[in-house]
Amino acid sequence: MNKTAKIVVGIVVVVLVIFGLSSMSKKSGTDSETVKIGFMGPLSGDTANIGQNAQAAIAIAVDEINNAGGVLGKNVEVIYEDDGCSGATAANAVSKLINTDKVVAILGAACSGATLGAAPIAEAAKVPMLSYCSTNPTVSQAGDYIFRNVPSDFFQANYAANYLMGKGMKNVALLTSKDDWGDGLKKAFTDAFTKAGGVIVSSDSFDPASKDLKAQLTTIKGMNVDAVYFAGYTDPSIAGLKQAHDLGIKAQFFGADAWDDTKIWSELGTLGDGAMFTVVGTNSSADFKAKMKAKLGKDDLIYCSNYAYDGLKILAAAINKADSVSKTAVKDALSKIKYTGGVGSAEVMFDNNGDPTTAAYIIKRALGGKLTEVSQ
Amino acid sequence: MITWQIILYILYAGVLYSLLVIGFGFILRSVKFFNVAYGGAFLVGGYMMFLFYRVLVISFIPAIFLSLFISGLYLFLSHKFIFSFLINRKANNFVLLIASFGFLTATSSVLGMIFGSQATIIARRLSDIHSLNIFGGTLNIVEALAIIIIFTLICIFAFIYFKTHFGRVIRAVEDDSEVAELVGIPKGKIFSQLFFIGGALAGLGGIIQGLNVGIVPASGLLFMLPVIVISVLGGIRSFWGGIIGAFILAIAQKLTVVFFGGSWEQAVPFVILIIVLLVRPEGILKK
Repeated sequence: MNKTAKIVVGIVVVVLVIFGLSSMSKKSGTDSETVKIGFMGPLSGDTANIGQNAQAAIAIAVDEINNAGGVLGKNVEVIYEDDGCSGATAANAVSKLINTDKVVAILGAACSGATLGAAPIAEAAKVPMLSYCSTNPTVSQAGDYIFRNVPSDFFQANYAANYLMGKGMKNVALLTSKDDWGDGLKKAFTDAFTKAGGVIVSSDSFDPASKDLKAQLTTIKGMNVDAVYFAGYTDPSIAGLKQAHDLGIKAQFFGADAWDDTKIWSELGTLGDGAMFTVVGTNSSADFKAKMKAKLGKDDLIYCSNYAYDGLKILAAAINKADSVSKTAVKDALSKIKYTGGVGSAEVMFDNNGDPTTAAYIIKRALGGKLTEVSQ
Repeated sequence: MITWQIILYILYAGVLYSLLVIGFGFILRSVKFFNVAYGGAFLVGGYMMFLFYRVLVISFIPAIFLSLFISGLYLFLSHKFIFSFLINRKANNFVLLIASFGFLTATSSVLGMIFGSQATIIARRLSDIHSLNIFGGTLNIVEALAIIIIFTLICIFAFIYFKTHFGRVIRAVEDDSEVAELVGIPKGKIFSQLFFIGGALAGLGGIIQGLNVGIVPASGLLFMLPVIVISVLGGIRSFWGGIIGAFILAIAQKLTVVFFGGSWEQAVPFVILIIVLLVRPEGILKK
């Protein structure tokens, strides 16, 4: 290395060090001025649209809270962490939020696997965690500090099972995502459906990263079932429904809340016709949809985002109610809270498990790339 | 009925793997390292097709040739600016493997930033990909055309490889590139050509996958794993070995799903790899 190069490198190093020090000192200066809340969600990977959509909804909530005076007289600051929808990544993300950012409470995660991966760490550190999208039944038992404002899949699968039985579809094949969310739905649906007198003809699963469900669907085709309960996220669902259409399977395809993603139906177009799914009925107003559209520049509202928006407001309300940033006080306030007027559900209260006390489901059907609510 | 349908799907999976392993094999046998950047060419092909066909609305055939050219160019340039340097410096295979892995990771991250990490579907309307009835079984138009085109390509490449002057040059370089250079074969130029051809073949795989079910930035690595397993399984020194390996893997994966369920599908390549390494480490077909 010649002399000029050494000088250039030296200058670069000095500039970087000064820049680093100044930005660090700035950060520690703002510490006492904001109330920090952590966010976890999939900001990358197959399910990134869920996390990114929720991020937009939370940004709206943060602005509204801060414009209305903030929390405990301070502004709310949300620290966003990517959990990639996986338990291992979520465990790292939650440790970072708790130990480095010292957040008061955590909003997350979206995917059940991620929430279950992060929950033991939040529980051990006694940091209240509120999931806005994890519906796996086992989240109920994840700990005292773990809450969610979205109902457990136990109710969703029950609702779907009873609906199919009510329509006289007694023979059903299961096709579920091989992860905590899919496994939870599979178990809950099997229990509810066999109890109601139905027959689970086959029960198969698929890798969430796979987009080739042809062999599974071929087996299902040979079984002459009335309906296929197909619990998958966006990408495998598009591929699976297309492949089912290729194979000419006539059975009713019935999905779960993850199908409430407009991408699936706009890509499939008429190929998705007739497919139905359960989703928690939201209180989402035209007003909130318009805010989301203004934020994102397009019509895109995933139902989890309703709960993410509410979730942040619930956490803010709990911190105000606790009148402190003590994590235990916030947790106690959360368990006694009664939050009304949300966009997810009209009223949220938590039971002993940290689950919402009410769950109202609706069924939607796809037709020509659009979703309509099925009246019952 | 089911058996026939599964056979059709095996056929499709087998030819798609064959296509990928032919291009991969050309590069592997000549430069003698697992060039994982090959998966990057798979992605580049698929995403370029998406860009040309669906975003820029160029018509189908020109869009395919443009995408194939760019995916070939991608691997060609990766050789010109990265691998040829390392090879000339006598870097060992491990360094080359890591470099190619880094190149693939960078490629998929960049593509993810541009096109998003969710599935990108090339078809303008999924209903355009209609299904065909084949003696009672079903294949969609992409799968059927892929089978025909790839079979033709296999024949063409087998002919070039075994019967033409260019094929003899390739085999000489594969055999011993230093000696080949001594008898006047321009090693660097042949490597470049093989990288271009390999890139275009991988790109075609990406286009087929993207048209059929859509690709994600992670597909590059997801497809590299079975391709590497196939190369080892068939015998890395053999042209036909790769194709036999491709079909063995396709059969094993589909039958696993039928008999044991879908959650085991991704594990099959590795179980096969371990068995082959234990029983017959040189692969099914020795050279």
